[in-house]
Amino acid sequence: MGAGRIAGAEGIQAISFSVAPRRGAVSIIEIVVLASCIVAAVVVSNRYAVDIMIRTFLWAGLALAWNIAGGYAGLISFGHAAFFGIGAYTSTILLLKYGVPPWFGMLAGALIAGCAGALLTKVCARLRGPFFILSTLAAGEVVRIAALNWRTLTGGSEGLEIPPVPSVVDMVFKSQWPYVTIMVAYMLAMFALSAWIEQTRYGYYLFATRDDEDGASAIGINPSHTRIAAMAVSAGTTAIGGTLFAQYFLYLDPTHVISPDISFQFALICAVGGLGTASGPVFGALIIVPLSELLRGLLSQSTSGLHLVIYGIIVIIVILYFPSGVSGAISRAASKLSLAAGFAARVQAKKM
Amino acid sequence: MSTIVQLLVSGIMLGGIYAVMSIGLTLIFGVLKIVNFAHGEFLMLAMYVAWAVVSATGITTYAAMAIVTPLLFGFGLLVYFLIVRPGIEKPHLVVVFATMGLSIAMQNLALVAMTADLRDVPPLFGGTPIKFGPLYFRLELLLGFLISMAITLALMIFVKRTYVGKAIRATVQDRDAAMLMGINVPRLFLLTFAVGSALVGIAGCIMLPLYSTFPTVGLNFVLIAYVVVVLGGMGSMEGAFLGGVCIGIVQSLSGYYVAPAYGQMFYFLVFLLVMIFRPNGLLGQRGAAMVGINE
Repeated sequence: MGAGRIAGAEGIQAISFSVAPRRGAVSIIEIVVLASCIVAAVVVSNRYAVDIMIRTFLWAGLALAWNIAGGYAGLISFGHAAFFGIGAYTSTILLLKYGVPPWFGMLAGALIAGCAGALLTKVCARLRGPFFILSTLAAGEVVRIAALNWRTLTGGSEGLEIPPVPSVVDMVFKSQWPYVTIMVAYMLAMFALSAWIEQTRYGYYLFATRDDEDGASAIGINPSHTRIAAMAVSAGTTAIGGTLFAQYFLYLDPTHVISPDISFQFALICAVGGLGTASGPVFGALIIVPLSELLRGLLSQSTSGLHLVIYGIIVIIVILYFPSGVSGAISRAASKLSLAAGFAARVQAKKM
Repeated sequence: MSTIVQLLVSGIMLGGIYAVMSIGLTLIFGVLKIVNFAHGEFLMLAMYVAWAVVSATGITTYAAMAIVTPLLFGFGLLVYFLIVRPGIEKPHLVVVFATMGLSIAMQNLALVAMTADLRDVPPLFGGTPIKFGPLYFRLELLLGFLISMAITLALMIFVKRTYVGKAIRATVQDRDAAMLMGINVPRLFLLTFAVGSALVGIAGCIMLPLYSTFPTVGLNFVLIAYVVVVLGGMGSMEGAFLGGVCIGIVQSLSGYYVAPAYGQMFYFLVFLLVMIFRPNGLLGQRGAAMVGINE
């Protein structure tokens, strides 16, 4: 049993399980969800809740950045923690050693990470599927071990600490609100970039390359350039998120910042929310980050780690039964609703 | 001179250990064309089960293999039915992410159940190394290496000589053609996944006397396993053995001549170089890395 289905499935399906991106305007659902998050952040003033929101917005932005490579270009990277780390370390080292404000430091980090991403994609250009995934994982580990051992630059396993002296120039604030603003701005910028990519010629190139490389090159797209550009943009924007992370938590060490777990988290947020859509990573972050933080808060007294067990199980269930993610499920439900509405309208029209 | 020979020999033995923990991964990859991202956690489970058996009964880990291996076989069946089979008909990313979720769940379940304490078994034979000419061996390492070689040979003979082995080779080469020839491919998937998991059980028993076990023990080793498998050529069992030995030697030499901390970096660099210049590995299927398999 099932034999025929396996054979059929293999031939037909493309790399990604994204739903076809909607062209044109961003849907109403997305705007409503985004707006209500921001309003919620303003209304709630509990320090713990605001902290969760800051993390959620930051992770949403980071997942959107990962999604440019992983979702749009089909370049599933488990080495994005390296770009994240490059961003965090570049701006922090520039700040601590040379007094460069992180506002500029993050651009330097983005540039370095972008070049690193382009280089990685260039050398791994021929690899597909699991081979590409494992190569990115190895590249991430190389960066982590380098950061761990290059003590004079990174402080090794002791890490780097940004002095908690509030200063607008150094992007360190006492209140949480500036952080909320920065993270929301980051998320919105990433969302706008994603929505823009979906509608440009370049976005079509990406989808074509992802779904059928031979077909794409037959119509004159250069798949290699398209991929390299996608990874560079994704790595650069991830690095900016890394700087924001460093400025919010004020502490960096290679084991936590460049760990494969961080890369997995980017990927899982996108997978749960829906790969290859602008709203997917936002939905994913809105579900996963508060969920794991709340579970951590609820369960940490009894046993550490239980919240991640539940998190892992939720990931498995969502991936297996909603392979186009939450945003896919929502858009399916929405289209069913609108179908039903259309049908009802037609019935009404006939009666009249 | 004797230093370098000693390093080479230790590296080769270490490589045998790496081979045995990678061979299940490469077998599953070759037949099912999926990467089990929870492979490291399977190893962690095997080591914990072996530890539990040894502490409860007092037998050696090698005797515990008789219990651990069937248990891991059963666990493999369970995971296949719950996660792999629902996902395998979908694009390969589904299995990637689902096994990753499994990995997170298992790692933290171990943390909840066993805490983060290191668990180990008392060294066998008093822990003294045996001397052979100018060379020293750790007996556990030597035993592990011999078992690893025996398993690789047994698997190779199984795949080359038996009917099921022939079916496995056919499925590795061309799944659709194998199915058209009347091979029950879904059944073969189930069997391969369970056998691959059982092999991890053996690996766990061999590794427990050498390393302590803790909830995240799998992550370190699974990264080595990926390197070994890719180096040898995904899906190739001889390749896994060869890859394991190469990585063992690289680690042993770089650990002595450069710095232990950079040892890991070296094998990741070796990995990246292999991926760039010889992406099918030493003994892999030609073109496998470029086709991308199961896309």
